[in-house]
Amino acid sequence: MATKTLLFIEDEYLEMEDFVSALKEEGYDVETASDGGEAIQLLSKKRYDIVLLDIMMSHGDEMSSSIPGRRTGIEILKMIRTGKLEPSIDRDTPVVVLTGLGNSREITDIQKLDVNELIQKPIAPDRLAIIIDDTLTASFSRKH
Amino acid sequence: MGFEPQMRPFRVSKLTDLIAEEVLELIQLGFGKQQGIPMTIIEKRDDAYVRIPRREDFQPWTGFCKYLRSTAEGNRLCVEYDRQQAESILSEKSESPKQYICHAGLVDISVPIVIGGEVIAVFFGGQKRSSGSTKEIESAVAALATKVPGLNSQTLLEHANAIEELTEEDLAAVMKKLRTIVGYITTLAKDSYDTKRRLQEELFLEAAVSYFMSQYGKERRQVRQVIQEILVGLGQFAELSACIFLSEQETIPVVTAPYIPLQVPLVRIKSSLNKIIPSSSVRSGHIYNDRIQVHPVIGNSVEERIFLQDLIDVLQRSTISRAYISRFELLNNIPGIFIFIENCGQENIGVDQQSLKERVKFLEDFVSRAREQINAYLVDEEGSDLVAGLAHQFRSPMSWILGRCWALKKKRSDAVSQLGYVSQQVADPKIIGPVIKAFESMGPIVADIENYIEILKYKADSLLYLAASERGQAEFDFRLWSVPQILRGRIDLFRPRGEKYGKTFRLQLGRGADTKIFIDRTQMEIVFDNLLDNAVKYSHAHKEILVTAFLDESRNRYIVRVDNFGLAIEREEQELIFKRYYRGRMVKDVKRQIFGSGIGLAVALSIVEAHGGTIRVDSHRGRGDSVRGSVHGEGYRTYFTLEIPIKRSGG
Repeated sequence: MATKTLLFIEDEYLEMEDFVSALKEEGYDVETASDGGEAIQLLSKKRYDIVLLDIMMSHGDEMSSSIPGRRTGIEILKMIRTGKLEPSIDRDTPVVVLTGLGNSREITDIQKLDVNELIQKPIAPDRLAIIIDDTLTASFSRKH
Repeated sequence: MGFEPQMRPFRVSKLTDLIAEEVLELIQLGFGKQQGIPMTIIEKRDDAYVRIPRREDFQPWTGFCKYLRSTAEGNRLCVEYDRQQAESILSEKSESPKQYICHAGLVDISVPIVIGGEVIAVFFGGQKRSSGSTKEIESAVAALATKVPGLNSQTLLEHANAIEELTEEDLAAVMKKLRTIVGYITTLAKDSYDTKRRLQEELFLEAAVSYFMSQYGKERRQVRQVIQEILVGLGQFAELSACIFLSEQETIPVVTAPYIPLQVPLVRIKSSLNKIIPSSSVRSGHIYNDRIQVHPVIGNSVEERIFLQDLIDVLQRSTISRAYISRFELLNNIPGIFIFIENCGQENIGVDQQSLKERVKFLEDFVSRAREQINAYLVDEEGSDLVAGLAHQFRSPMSWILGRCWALKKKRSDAVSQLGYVSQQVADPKIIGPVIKAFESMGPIVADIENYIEILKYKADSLLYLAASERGQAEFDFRLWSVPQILRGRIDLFRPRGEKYGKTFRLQLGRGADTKIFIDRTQMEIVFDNLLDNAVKYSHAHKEILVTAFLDESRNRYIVRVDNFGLAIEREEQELIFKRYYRGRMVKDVKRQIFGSGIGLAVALSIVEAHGGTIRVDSHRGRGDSVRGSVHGEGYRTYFTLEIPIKRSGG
């Protein structure tokens, strides 16, 4: 079975480390981006099977957000879903969102953004790997 | 879409805009009888002049007037005369009281009622005879007799003679009385006017700030445009002809009343303006077109003098007759200078300096209040960002800890495998065995850390809920959930900690427990976690914690009860423990310290009440059951009972 590629977009490097290890153990080819700019660059050049995104990530350069530093994970998600990054990334690419937010309304708002799966932190890496796997399987089943 | 003020500045065109007609009737009736002076008010409504009171039985006429008005033509002439008088006073906007002889020869007095600089009604009183007016009255009666069919001049004269004759001093006293009454009415009207105008201003302010905030976050250029739109609307309130918002960028058109755009080329003074804008002080002054004067307060710096001279040159080339310059900063990062210009292109309408000062003061106050309100909004926005940021700050490190736990477990597992291999190959089992056991014992330690991270999550959620609810930002997402399913998950979370002290959990599901109910799952988990955590903390060792769930069909309520045996909650404290930061006396008295913040139950209560439910505690001395055989302990049975009404639909 071909190795699945995953882009992990998360600005907290320390948090990323163990999760990346867990995902690699599950057989994923993991690449990382630590800010929105880097994420857009990678997404523009390569097709990923799945994107894992921290919704509260700050951006590293001037982007369209008028309130810098807040929720540009949402902007990346919107760019994927509106096809702005095609043809390199399919707008239907599964996106799993990680969030530290807790308010029910905020969770509902994120869910409305057409995410495949929303995971509330904290979560253990092995559990995350299982959810990623399930999401990818479900997405593949829907397509075929 | 630009800013369209929902309401126009509060303008008064008639007295009954401010005081109800019924109240005016009563005032006149009361004063009229008391003073013995017939009186009436006339105001203009649309195109008609309306007399107050209108009711016939309220008309305070003398016998003379009653007789005259009893004829159709007589009434018409009187009404027409009154209308002409009122029209004359209202159209001339004359504010001075007048004494005059009516068409029937009687003395009448008119006192205009002035509100907000406008004559909005005329107060008439009198129907008196001045001494020595007999000939005038006879002459007037004779004239009326020829015009009014059915009028008996003799009868009319008899009525006239019955009217008391008043000297000039008496009539002056009547005038004074009427002016006093008008003063009273004006005070009432002005209070009403001020209140209604303030309300309009507040509504405008709210609309303007809401509009501004809805646009905030866009580019500065757009925000400046928004401010300009608001100022134009504001100009209507202050009854100034124009407002200019100057930016250090391109020309901003001046919009004047009646909204004739007047381009004021400001490119030339841009550099001067740039030097002034960074300054933090406010300058103000007057400029008059005929004699250009600069108020000594402004123009203190060389840059400002240059700017003002340039501005004067520009304004002189236009037809602006008066301008007032004031410098404000609506927001710290959007500086500007507001110039209020009056009578652009029009002749001086006679507005005096004092009036202009008052209007500008109004605008300055408005900007100041708008600034405060905008800052309050921004603090709130920052506040909500703070709460979201806090959530992120709590949960991200927890994720990191779970990540490290996973890494530790992996390494432990790898180490155990390696050691197992080594022990098979070479090592003395007596040496290797303990090493393997040491590594294996890490497993439960890591499991403890992972379990506690999950418990910490609910504590963080409690704090975050508290922060959000204090800002009025706590929001709920009600959906159908199975309570037993949630309870099982939460009990599993606390079970490991309980078991360390021999405390066990038992979930007992009663009738209807499987009924799904509308709750916010995330928030309700916080409630259950608080109750279960308290049960673990405050129950005695080796005791059972019983969690019961059932549906009370008779009261349409879903009940969850958490029941433990341990520390008491005394009767007088049973309501207090739901208050923030309160901790029970027994908890504080025990030798071993039981850590707690005292906010858990306050948060739980708040969430349950948001569901329309209640939560209460009962605690009484009892004998506890122990899981260790027949040993019974002394202590208190404490029950927390949660009741949630069954919603038949979401939300």
